[in-house]
Amino acid sequence: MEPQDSTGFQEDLLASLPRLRRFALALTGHPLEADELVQITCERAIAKAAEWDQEQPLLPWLYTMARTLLAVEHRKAARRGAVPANEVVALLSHMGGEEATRAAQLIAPVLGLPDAMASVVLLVSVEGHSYAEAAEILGIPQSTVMSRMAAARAKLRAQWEGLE
Amino acid sequence: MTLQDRISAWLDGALPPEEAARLEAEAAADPTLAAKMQAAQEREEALSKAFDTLLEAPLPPGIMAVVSGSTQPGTRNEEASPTVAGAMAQEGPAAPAPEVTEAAPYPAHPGEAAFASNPPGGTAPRGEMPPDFAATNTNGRAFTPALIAAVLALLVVGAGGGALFTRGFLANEELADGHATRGWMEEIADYHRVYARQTAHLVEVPASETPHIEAWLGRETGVPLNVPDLSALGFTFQGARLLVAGGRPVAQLLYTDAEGGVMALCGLALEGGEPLPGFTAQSFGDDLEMVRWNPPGAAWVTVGKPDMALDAVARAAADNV
Repeated sequence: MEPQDSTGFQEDLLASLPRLRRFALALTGHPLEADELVQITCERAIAKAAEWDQEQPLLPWLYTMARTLLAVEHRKAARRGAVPANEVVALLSHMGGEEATRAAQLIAPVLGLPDAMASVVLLVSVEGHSYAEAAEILGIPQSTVMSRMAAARAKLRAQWEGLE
Repeated sequence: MTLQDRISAWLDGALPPEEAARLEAEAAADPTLAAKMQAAQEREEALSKAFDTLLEAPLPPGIMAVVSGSTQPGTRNEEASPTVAGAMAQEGPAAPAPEVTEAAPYPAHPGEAAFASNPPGGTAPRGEMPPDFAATNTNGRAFTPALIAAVLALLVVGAGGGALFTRGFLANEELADGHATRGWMEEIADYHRVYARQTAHLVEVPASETPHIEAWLGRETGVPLNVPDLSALGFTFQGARLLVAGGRPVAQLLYTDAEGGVMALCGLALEGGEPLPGFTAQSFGDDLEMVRWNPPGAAWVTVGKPDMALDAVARAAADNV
């Protein structure tokens, strides 16, 4: 493999932004905090670019970095409960009103899940990572990924049945 | 495990094969259970779709400024200094980067380096960032993913476009209209290197529209096709694109494996040639391999990384496509 230059890293980082931002939203549960986290993660990633193992895809590296930075900030402790769906709708301003509302109604309950379940749901259910990959990104045991997925689905099912 | 736990693990493809088979057998005999599993699957799809809408959201200019103004060519091994000043100016105060004592993101586990989703490091050709690019992101305009995609496409075309055209005419076996087959396979390899990186925009038409894909690509390419189910080999159908290679329309069916690695099945019409027996493998650089077979009137290849058991994929696909 050819040596990676800075333009390559920059390109990959650029291409990773939409997913990194979505992951940050799942981690923090709040749009503004998510954007702050993306920003500091990008700054950190740029500063640490030389440490990135180019044999590995960039996204999991970024995800782990974001998760670590958030833990350092101890913001998790300050996590609030459910995010109002209208805050999520504001993120979806590029879509039609009805479509955005519908998507937000599905997203908001996930963001409001307790015990960092949202990031597990995003990685496994939405992005299709295996339990092993999600466990590595989140720094938790695989068995925890599995039990959080089951618990998250039970909670979401109850909420969605309430919606219908 | 409760039934709900089993269904949950089953949805995630995390049940051992024999347990998955047992659950599916139970569902076959129990319509209530089958309905439950189907409803759960539908919720999964709805959720993924909803979350995918977030990927299309415009990115705040402050974030774009951090990234696109970040490095000078050739400074990869130095400590690059993030250019946050511009971002701060427009975005208001942002959290200072905290000192991370041990970030150690993504520690290397050589044995299970399983995040195979197309190493961003890269086999795709690289180009120089357009010189005025860094300037455009400080004017307060929101960056849409489409704009990012356009920038990336420019970079790729700049470096790789020429190669793509010249390779098209390398002599080897010829299609009826004079295009070399080595050429169309090279072009498909080039496409694969580009598209396998577009995880957010992997396909043009998603797997949920399989009947449409079959009718549309069959009509455009002149090769009647079915989308083969390759789940037994660990590949999930994601959707399709229409490509042009060797001057011909090519159906590209895209699959991902459990690790997110992208595998494509590409077919095009090939008139006049004798159907070739068997399957032939060919390497394209260190990173790609193809296995080709020629049913009457067509040519098919599976494209992917050399460790993807493409020969087995090709044989399974040839029976069903």
